[in-house]
Amino acid sequence: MPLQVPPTEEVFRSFSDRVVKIEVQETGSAAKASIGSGFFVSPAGHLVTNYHVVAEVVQHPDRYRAGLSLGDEEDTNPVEILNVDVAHDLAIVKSDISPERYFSLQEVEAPQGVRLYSLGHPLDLGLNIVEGTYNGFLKHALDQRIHFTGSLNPGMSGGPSITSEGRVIGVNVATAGEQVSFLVPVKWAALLLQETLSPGFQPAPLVEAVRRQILDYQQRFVSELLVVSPPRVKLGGFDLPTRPAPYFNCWADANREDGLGYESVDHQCATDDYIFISDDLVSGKLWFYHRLLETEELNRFQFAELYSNDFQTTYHGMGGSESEVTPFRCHTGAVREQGITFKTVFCLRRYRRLEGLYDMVFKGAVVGRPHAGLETALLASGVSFENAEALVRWYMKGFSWSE
Amino acid sequence: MERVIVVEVLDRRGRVRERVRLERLPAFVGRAYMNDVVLEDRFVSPRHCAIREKESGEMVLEDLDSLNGVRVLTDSSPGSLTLRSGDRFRVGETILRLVDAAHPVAPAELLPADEGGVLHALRDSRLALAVVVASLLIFALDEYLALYYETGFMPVASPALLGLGALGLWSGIWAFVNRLLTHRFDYLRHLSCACLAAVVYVFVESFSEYAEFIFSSERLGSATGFIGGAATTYVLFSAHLAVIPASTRRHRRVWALGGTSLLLGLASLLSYSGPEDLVAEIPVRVPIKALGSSLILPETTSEFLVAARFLREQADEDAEDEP
Repeated sequence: MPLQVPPTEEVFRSFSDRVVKIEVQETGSAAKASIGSGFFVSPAGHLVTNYHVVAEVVQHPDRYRAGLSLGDEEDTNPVEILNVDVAHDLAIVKSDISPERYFSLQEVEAPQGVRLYSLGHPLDLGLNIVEGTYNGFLKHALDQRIHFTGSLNPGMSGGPSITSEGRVIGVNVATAGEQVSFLVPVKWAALLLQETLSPGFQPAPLVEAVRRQILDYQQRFVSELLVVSPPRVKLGGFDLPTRPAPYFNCWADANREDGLGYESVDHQCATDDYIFISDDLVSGKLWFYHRLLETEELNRFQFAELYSNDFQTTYHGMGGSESEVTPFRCHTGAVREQGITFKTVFCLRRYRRLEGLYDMVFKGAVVGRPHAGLETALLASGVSFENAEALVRWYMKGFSWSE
Repeated sequence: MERVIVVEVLDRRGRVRERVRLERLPAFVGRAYMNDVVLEDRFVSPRHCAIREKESGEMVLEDLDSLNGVRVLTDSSPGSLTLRSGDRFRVGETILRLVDAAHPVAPAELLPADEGGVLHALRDSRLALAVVVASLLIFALDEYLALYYETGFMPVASPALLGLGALGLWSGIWAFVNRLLTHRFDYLRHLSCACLAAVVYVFVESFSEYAEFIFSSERLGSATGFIGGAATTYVLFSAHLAVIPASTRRHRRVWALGGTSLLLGLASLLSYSGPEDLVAEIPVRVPIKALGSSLILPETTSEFLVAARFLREQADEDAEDEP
């Protein structure tokens, strides 16, 4: 391994011709819908990019089309989307251009701290290169992502992160702010390309491929979670479930203003990451929260009114337009688990074009104590109905009295 | 005979048992059948007395040698046998009264026949006022028990007073109609009826929320609320119409039904807030109440989830429909 590290400019000069700008345009107006990056991986003109860069074309092929542009050129060459891997946010696209040089994808071991160079097209400003170091793997839901200490910009999504010798270590996928970014390990891109290039490969209808992949993903993700008995947090005389896996983030909040006649304490946990389906829709997100309400000033009727009104609001944060998801349908009831009685609500909506995939909201409110209440909610996006049921059962087992 | 003279035969309580218009003067009174006024009284002689007109035009009573005599029962001049219109006189054990055409007659009274006990009792303005005050206190209590984000007199009093104001306006309209038809406003009765109905509404709403809380059925809650509200509205309309009163009972029923339907229609229209954004919102309301949680019959999580399986079919059906 050479001791001197070549300057960034040399890396740029050596490899920039393999990296392109990917544009998604509206078919009608040729207005740009989104911009990302991609890179050549075969002599025939195959490219790797992120799924989310071309997602609108997959979901609405009649309204959008994708194209690539080389260097500083304005013209775009059309690309065809051949294969997708939504779980890893990757896509293989093909153009008619036969590139002279391209990256070869091999699974490469990188030593900790090695210098990496990310290439891409940030904010439509032209090809850019960002330096950073390789910082190992972080567990992201089911698989791992590479932590990269460099500041990527959104337009660089889909571009490669390479060593100075031009070995692709990962594909740019996300940024979490200053000097913290994530890469999809090259292994997944290699596998996807291999599948696409295999002799018997037939490009399947892409929406169906997306559906199948999400179903597989959530099946693995949820079944892995269901065997875990989540750790507990103590709140108001209860033991409640908290952070069930390392890829959940949890935080707490207490509200003790003097003016109010009551106090509230919140505890919530959410998965960090998700599968991007379209601009309005994500999948594979799981979160839950608990809220404790207590009062010493209000009488039981006033407290019941407060509790009731507070319980009506659900901060579910699930997007999705009318054309992508059905309206929520709900069922109410009362449940008793481990000696605690809850008023419960279970709500469901379906992804219109992705059969078998649902968003679920489950809520419970503990009843029977005149001056204290506990609200809880479990929300999951993009799961099968059986898994939605299984998650609620799993979740409810996590509640018990402290004493 | 030109002059109208009527002899009334009274019963023991002073009520008119029989009226005889005199055809001629002098007129004869007695037990025998040839008299102008025939009495059935064993203390009356067959030809007991006569009613004569003097030259001055005054009427006098003349005893015709009866066994028990006659007596004019007036305070003004005892012993006198002059009869002025309205004077009573005794013949045997029977009291009679003489009246002429000019005798004043009380104006006709309104039929109280269709009023129920409550409406009748509310004629007492003190009771009606007590009802109004009690209603105001109940509204205030209802506000107080639901107020958790601020305290004080105004947040409790103002909604109650506003409610009373609205009821006052509603009752005013009825009182105005009342006045048009009967020359009386009867405002306090209308107002107390409206207040009673409003108190019942408050209870009906509470009751339906408790039903929903304990039995976990949104349908049950809506049904009890709707039925209770409709019944109360119907009774209120009937009461207003009975106070006025509006012709026959059948007419009242029709008007009451019409008014209730109109009000319900208006209420539905007003509560319709346009096509809801159900894609983003959770369309369910789960009331939590201060009492009755021990009456809840909970199921296990599994049972609850099994009961919720119909949601999947609904969601799949929704996906088939065009958005």
